[in-house]
Amino acid sequence: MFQLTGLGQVDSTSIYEEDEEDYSMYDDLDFAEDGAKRYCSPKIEGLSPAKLIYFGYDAMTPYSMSLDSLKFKDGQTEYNAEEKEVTLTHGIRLGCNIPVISKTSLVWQMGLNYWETRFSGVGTGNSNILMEEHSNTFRTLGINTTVFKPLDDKQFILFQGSADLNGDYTFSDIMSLSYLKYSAAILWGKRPTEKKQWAVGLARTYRVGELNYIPVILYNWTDAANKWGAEVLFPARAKIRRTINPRNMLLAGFELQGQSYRLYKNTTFRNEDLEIRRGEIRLGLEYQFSVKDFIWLSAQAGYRINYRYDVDRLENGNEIYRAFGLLSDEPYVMENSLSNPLYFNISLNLVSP
Amino acid sequence: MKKIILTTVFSVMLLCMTAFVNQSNEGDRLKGVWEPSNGRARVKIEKIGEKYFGKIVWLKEAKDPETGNPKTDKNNPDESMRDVPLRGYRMLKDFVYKGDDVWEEGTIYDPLNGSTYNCVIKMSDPNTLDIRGYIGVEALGRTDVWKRLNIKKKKSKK
Amino acid sequence: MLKTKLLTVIFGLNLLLFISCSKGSKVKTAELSDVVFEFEGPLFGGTNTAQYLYSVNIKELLNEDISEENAIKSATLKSATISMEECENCYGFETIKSLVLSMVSDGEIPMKEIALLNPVNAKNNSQALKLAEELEIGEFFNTDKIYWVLDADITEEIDDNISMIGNFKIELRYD
Repeated sequence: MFQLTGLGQVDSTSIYEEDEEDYSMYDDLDFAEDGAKRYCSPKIEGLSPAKLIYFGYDAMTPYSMSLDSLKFKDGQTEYNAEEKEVTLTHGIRLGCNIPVISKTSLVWQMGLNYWETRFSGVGTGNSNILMEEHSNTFRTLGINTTVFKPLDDKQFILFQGSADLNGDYTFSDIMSLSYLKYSAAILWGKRPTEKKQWAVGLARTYRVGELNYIPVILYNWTDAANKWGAEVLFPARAKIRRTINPRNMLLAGFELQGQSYRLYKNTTFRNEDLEIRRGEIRLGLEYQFSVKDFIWLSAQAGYRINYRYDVDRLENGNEIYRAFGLLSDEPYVMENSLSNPLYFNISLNLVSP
Repeated sequence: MKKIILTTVFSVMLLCMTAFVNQSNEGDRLKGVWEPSNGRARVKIEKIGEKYFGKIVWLKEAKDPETGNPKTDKNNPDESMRDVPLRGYRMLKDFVYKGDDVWEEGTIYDPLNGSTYNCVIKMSDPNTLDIRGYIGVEALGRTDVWKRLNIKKKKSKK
Repeated sequence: MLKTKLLTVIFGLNLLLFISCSKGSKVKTAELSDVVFEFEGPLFGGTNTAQYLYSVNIKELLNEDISEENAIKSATLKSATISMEECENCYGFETIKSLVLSMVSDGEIPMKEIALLNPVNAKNNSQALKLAEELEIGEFFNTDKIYWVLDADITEEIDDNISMIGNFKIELRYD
């Protein structure tokens, strides 16, 4: 052991050229700049982390698919009803959300997403033409944007918009962009504390399988001990959160998913301009944890309740807006039913600071 | 001739030294007390050696609601350092002044989740900082705007 | 006989490989003692900081004639003790709520909090700090100077200076 005692090279000095701290001197301070404002932050303490980039895989256990006969506009019916067991419904889920502007007074981010859905067990040579369509891969390619604009230190405006191309197209024969489905939501809300945020607004959505305009409620909350919380964007999703620690979380609740898939590949359907209106409710549990630093893994499992899987016809290229039957009771071209399987989803995520 | 050369060399050396000192002084503009946009904390930025560090000097909620004791760094990934008091904790570390109102090579620590991010500080005006914490590349990050606070001086040191 | 020789050679080679791959084959414990942290008054309640600038001299540190750069392969803090200056009117640990010891170096090495004491036992005049688990500090000893930074949370206003004395034991591994 060697002793190094008070060598001549040492310099023990306080680093302060100004004054020592009394913490109370920091209590009532003004901004150095006149007119400087405080703005509320989009972040709520304790919330599950936002995903910047994600790679996921989704799968469902077997379920039965009962497809109706196809009723053409002229009243003719073709293609028999058919029922089959779909042994596996699965596909990748990819996406990214990149901040474009990230300032105190404005947060704007843009995102891209790509989902695939493949069906196993359907086979080919089916008598029902829609059943035959399920030997193709259903794709969703979308772009989205979110703008968070704080009005002051408590109030904010939130806008979300997206455009999705849904169908059984391939990348070598992609659908026209005229078939893009547009969704949007605009909300006004308040952030009374760092642990609570609520907002109300209106949304244009395809979540229940067809176009609807519905009110939406946002509510994010964390309790004082940072153990329990709620993450709600009703009616799209609502979850209760249990925080084991800031790197491990459990969530339980429901989520509405839905798209309108254009039946593009088959020329019969193209001539008829038909779309599958898909809507489902997922009840499940989700476990999120940090693998390392900002790399998180989320694993979900639950029960999928099919809400709608009907085929609809476009009128002169326009969707029929039924407003839950209030504005139109036009029947669907095909009214189908799916039984309810279990679902599993795993995703590797790069999360946001 | 010899005199001219010596004078030139000396002048160049003086110019370089002046530039270095000026750079060093310019970097010191970061020093002071600043408030993040959420208003939940106040951070004093100071210099140790040639680097700049920011420590929390005020918290809006200084006490842990569960225990009633002053908050500590309970989310630190290093369990042995979870008793470090948050008030006084250096959440900004190792910033080096690079010129053009930019301080780089530093990190910012979020005590809410125990995560440390790469960070760059840009002074958009003498009373405003753009503090950008990011993961890997600056594009994957978030900017928070910090405002300088007026600090009332007390007794000066002996 | 041949088999035994072969086994001996294989064993010897493996041992050589192990030694050459290990993080520095020599180990020494250096003691940095009587490190004075001077907190200049007047001091107010809150965190106050004092630093100690230590110029690194590897030859002196290891008591060996080592000239190569980056000679230190790894280093860990084995103990850190802080004592209050003993004198008639000097303050004791009753005025200190917590202590945090850190290391800083100019250049790319990030600051490291290496030891902590919270709460402080006011009865003892010498306090052993709790060492951080992630304790690798070897890279600091390959630089020219180290700033040892001591943050002390002081309970009340004090008009005088406070001196604290640090004693640290550092285990150094080198080739």
